[in-house]
Amino acid sequence: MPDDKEKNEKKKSGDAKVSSMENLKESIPGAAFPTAKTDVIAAGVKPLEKPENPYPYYNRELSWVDFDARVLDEAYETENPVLERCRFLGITGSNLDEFFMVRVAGVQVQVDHKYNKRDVSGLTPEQLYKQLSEKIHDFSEKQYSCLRRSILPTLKHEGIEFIRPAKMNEKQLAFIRSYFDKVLFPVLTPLAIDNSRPFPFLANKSLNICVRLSVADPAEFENRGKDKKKKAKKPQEAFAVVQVPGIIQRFLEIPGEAEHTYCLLEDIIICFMDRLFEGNEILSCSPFRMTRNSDLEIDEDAEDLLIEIRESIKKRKRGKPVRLELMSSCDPATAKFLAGQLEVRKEAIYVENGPLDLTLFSKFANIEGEDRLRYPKLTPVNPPADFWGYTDIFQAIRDKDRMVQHPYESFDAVVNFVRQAAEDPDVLAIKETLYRVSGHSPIIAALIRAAENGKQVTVLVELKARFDEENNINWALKLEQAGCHVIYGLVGLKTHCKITLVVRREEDGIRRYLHMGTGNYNDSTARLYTDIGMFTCREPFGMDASGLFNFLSGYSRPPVFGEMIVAPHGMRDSFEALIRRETENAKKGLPSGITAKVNSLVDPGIINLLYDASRAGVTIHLIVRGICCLIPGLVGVSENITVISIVGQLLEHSRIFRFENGGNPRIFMGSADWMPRNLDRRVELVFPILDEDLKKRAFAILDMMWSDNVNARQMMSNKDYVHIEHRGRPAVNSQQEFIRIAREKFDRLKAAQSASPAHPKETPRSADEDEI
Amino acid sequence: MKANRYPKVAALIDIGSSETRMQIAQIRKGKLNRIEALSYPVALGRDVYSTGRVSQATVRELIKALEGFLNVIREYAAEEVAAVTTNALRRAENRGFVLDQVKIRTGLDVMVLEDNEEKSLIYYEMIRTLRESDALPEDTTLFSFVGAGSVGIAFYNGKTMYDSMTVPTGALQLGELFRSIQQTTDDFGQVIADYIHSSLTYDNLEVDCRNIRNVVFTGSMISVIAAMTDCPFTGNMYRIPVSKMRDLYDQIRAERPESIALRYKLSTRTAEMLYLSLALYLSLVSFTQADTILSPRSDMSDCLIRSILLPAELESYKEYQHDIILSCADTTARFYHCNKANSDYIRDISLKMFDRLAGQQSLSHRDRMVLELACVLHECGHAVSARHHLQSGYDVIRHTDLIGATKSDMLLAATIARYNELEEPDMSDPQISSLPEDIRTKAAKLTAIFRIANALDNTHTEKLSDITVRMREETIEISGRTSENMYLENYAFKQCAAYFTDVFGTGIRLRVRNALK
Repeated sequence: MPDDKEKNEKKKSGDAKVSSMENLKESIPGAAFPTAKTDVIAAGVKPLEKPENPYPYYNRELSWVDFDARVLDEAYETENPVLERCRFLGITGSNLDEFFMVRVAGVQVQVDHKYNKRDVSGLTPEQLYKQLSEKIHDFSEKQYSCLRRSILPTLKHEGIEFIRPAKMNEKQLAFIRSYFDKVLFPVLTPLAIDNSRPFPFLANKSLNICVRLSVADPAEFENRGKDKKKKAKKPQEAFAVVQVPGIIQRFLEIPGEAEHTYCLLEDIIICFMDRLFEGNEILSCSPFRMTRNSDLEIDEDAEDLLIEIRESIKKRKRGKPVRLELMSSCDPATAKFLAGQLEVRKEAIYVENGPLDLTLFSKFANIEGEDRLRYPKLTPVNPPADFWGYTDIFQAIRDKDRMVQHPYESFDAVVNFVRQAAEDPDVLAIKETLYRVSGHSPIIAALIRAAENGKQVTVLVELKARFDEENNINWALKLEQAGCHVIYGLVGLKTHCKITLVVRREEDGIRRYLHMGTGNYNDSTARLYTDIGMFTCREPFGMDASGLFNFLSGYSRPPVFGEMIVAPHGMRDSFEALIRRETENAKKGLPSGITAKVNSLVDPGIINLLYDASRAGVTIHLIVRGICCLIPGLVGVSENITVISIVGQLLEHSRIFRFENGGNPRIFMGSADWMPRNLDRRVELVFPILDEDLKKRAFAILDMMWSDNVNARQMMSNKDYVHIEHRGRPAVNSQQEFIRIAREKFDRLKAAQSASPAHPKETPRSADEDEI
Repeated sequence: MKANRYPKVAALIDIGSSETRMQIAQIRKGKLNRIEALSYPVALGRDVYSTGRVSQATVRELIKALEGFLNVIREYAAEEVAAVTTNALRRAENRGFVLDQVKIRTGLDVMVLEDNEEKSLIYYEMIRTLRESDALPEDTTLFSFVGAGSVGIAFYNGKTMYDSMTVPTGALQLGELFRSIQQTTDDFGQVIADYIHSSLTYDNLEVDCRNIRNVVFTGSMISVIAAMTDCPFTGNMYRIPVSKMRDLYDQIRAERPESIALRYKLSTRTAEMLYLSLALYLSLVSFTQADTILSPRSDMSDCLIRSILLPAELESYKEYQHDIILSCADTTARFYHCNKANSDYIRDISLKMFDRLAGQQSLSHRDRMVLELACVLHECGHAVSARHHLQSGYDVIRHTDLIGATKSDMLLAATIARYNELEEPDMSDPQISSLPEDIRTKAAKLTAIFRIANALDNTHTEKLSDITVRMREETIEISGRTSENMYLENYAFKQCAAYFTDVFGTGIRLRVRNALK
């Protein structure tokens, strides 16, 4: 083991290589650190395959489960309003559903095909599947523990109760009976399973009830009702499936002693199941739920991509089951029957101690009349401070670059940008990329209006936005019908960048106005996700934007971008160069540092460079909401790297990158996370903030997030996440602070305007302001 | 909303040998402001240099590119759209069909620029950029443009281009040869160098370049070469040391394009073009004493689009074009030992007559220049054949390459210079009857003027001075002073006067005043 002096010398020179297992051992206390290669793999922390580059890398799927666990933490957090805790619980459920449908499914496919190549973290698919299964089983237990032991009692304390028929009084039973007769019975279709009727095809994620019956005569069971006079034979077991209707709300409010009393649909159905199987003895009723592999395989060379995606969406509904959820009350015979019919392996069976499909709690969180049990309504300020005093949005942008931070500041600023462009007679053309749009999107309406007003409207619709394909197809057709030029991007590249370009004819010539952002053009998610957008009419950005759209439209080769950083054309190289520069600066004794906020950090190349930078003495602050495959705090590897994750009321979604650049800091924002798919397989856009005021504002945004000690959790070198302790400092909830700051700014501007007799047209923001 | 409230926006499409490009620009604060620059790969050159024709698949690609460009043009409501093409389409045997399909499918009328026109535009841009950057050399400079289909070479004397030539061997064409050579020899580097050297060493190029210290080159591979030799783009140009370029060439000389491509992360085609361009540049610079290659930004489409947007710019370009054509014509005339005093004298008289008649006769500025050309070059034929000097002169002039002058210009100049007082144009002569009708009429007019002027220096002694040309009572009167015997000039004048009257419908007389009185 190298002595301290030797270690220090190596560290100083910056040439130290992480070559010894001993260094790694030290940095993961408590770990039964292996010595043999195979043992290292089992620990889930494995250096990269290349012996000359033994950097540690945490498996991304395992890291994702940790992220969902942080969301579950919010469900546990007693300081959160109880209905918000329900919402968090529901989110963990929907997150897990999607995880199974895509990621776990992918691993399972590899296992089924006996693919056994180790991934970058050193795990084979079989090993990973086993670890994932253990981790998720553990997680599921925690979900239901949270529900049973914390959320339900708290709800009860607040006058909200769930009860089952066994605990109902006569009045309540009559109520649900009536409901069953009038609403449920007409829509329920029991599906018998026998030799002539195979196990039915069940929709992905649907909740179903498996009924085990004792049938007097199987033939009689098959032909029940046809000939009642036939003598019954010895009873045999049979099964049937009843789907819980997804179209009806899962929870029903019933009369009760509590302020609000609810009952679940499946409980009502089970209570009156005999009505569906008259003449048969019901042995048991067991709710169950199945999740299918839903990763689309799309042949992008297909002649018509639209048709291909539509076909693939249909196929998604028929993917192989990857998870079977059962309630703990499920009897062994039913469990065995279902497992056999659905051909799920043992690890894929999840036995839950509570109602299946926790996503119901996301809807439950919105029950009427209980605002006291939710976060105070967040009303974004409108107009945002940067647009205060302007009715002409183009004038505002001409005067100066503008920045809007959502959801603290209203997304209307973005909608208005497109709306004004649609109506402005001097606007010649509008171009926009659409990745995920809301149901009744005002942006789409504005684009349609623009086309009707004779503007040249080009919309790049990404059809392959996972689980939004159908939605996007519908919008694409509507836009085309309105006269927009709809394009679907480039084969093999998902268009993920968020950019709007408006070409306007003015007295001194053509000017291009841009909006670029970190978030989708979706007014719904703009209320729930934190994102940042910038408006500008700087010519270099205009040229770059035009070049980008021409490339995406297939009109031209990709240009050499001046200001923008675009993937896959050079984004990886750009980020690597920026990180390397910090490393070089650190070695030269110049100011250095990296602060990056991303949703996921997965890319091995970037991670390696960050480790290199840390070893050279660069201070690195990473705000990684979700998956983080980098392990911070490892001696000799990453002791200069700190990772926090902010999970709170709002979903952190913005991507911001700051590089100290030898004392002249540069800051960028954009659509790309540090994942291979973003850097190499998608069209992404990262843009520099050039305006000095906006730079300061962006720095302050990062600083505020970094100082969060309420919603932030720090990733430790053993990969656990721990809450950041206040230690005598005031509590800082960055999201609440942003709400407060936006509101205060708005109020100040409003007060200033009211106080001024002249009612000035604009109230420019002072460059001395250091608040966001 | 009135359109003239807004600055004009124009689009220029350039259909090149390996790509089709478009530029959309406007004028902002008096300067050209490029709004869009698109490029779409269409391998016209590859088709033409291998088969002589553009394939239907390539035509479809071209039309697809143009349709995309038209979509972008609509987004800017460009008021004027021009489309030009150069070498590859110029050489295509099925050029007419291709242009017809383009017109039908896109509505675009594509102008086919001749080689000399193209080079003229490129040199103009090179000079302009150098001048704006205060880097225009004041002494003799070799300019060269290495294109896909040809290499243009021109000499600049600090004021204007005075000589030029075009070598019909460009990088893309060489590529065809290169590929076949690679199959048969490993020493393809030497073979290519020898071939290029043989293509360039004629017309005293080596001799002419011997004392030149300044070279200005351009071409599509310059930016790649600059990047690979670590020479930044500053002040609107690259400055590439010859030694660095040579080192780069030495590194790749023995390698095949595939391995160059791998090594330097280029496409194979770019690697090939790079290899051949380097060979061409180094061959050229080896004739000189230059140690640095200047390469200014010089896109001919900049000149074209500027001309569309700024009338003053168009005039400036026309003036430049006039200067270089005549300057190069002077050099050619010297080469053929033409009598300069005689040419200048005839030119002076011709232009005075032209200026007097042009307004009434719908003769253009370009026609004036062609008349000047005829005056400058009319004696070329004497160097070839004293007996058949007129026909020889016609042949020489017709096939002379002058930067900026089109084939049509040279044919017209040749036709004008074909006739003197002894030979009158015969409209049934195939050399005239094969001309389009409007050109025929123009040729007749300019010839009529030239013959008169030529007649007045019949003895090559420039006897008349103070020559004026006036219109008096429907008659052109040329007057001048002399103290010398004008018998032969008068005779020649009378021989030419009848044709003049026939062509212009105006009488013409000569009034000679005695200088002694």
